[in-house]
Amino acid sequence: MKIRVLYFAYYKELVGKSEEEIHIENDSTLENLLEIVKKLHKPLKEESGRIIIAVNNEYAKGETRLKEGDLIAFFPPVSGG
Amino acid sequence: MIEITREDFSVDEIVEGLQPRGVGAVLTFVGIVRGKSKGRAIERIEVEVYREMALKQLESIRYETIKLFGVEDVAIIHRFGSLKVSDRIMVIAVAAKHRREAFQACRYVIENIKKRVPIWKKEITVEGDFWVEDVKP
Repeated sequence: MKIRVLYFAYYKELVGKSEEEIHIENDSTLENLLEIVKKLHKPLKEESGRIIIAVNNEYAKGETRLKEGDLIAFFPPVSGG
Repeated sequence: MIEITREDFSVDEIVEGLQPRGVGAVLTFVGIVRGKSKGRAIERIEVEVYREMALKQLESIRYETIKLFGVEDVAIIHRFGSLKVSDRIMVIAVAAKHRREAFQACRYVIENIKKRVPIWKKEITVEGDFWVEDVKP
């Protein structure tokens, strides 16, 4: 299935783009997607413990199961305000 | 009112907008671009936002704040884009019957913005560009 992935702030710079489409097996979890993303973009490996993830504009955990058309965002800790 | 915008805002207009409800107090908190950070002189900052999610989070924070503290209304405006030192970054305005809940509510809003609204600041300085990390109260 196809998943749309967004990167923000420092991660956008690390990855060199703000979004991409990733093909992943049906029934995969967010954790599986993160592994693929870290393989595709090596600098993200260093960020492992602190990567924040959102699915369809809501915070989400690694065990979340993905479905076709989901919008995933990876970003570093926020610093607004 | 919740807004994410490039444009500057008028605090007076926001306060006036909250007043017709017959409240006893409108408390405002204005965040401003600082001139120095970790000893480095700042030239400007770049504010990046994940708009759809940030709007959702701000709406939730507004709703929670009204429910938790019993205040009358909350307005939050956050800017993005390129901002100079002394520019306004954001405003929180809380309309309440009394000062106590107004201060508590305002504190709740700002702490939750810093914790969970997907917005990032990058400081552009003469020594280089630095993403602002984990802002602790």
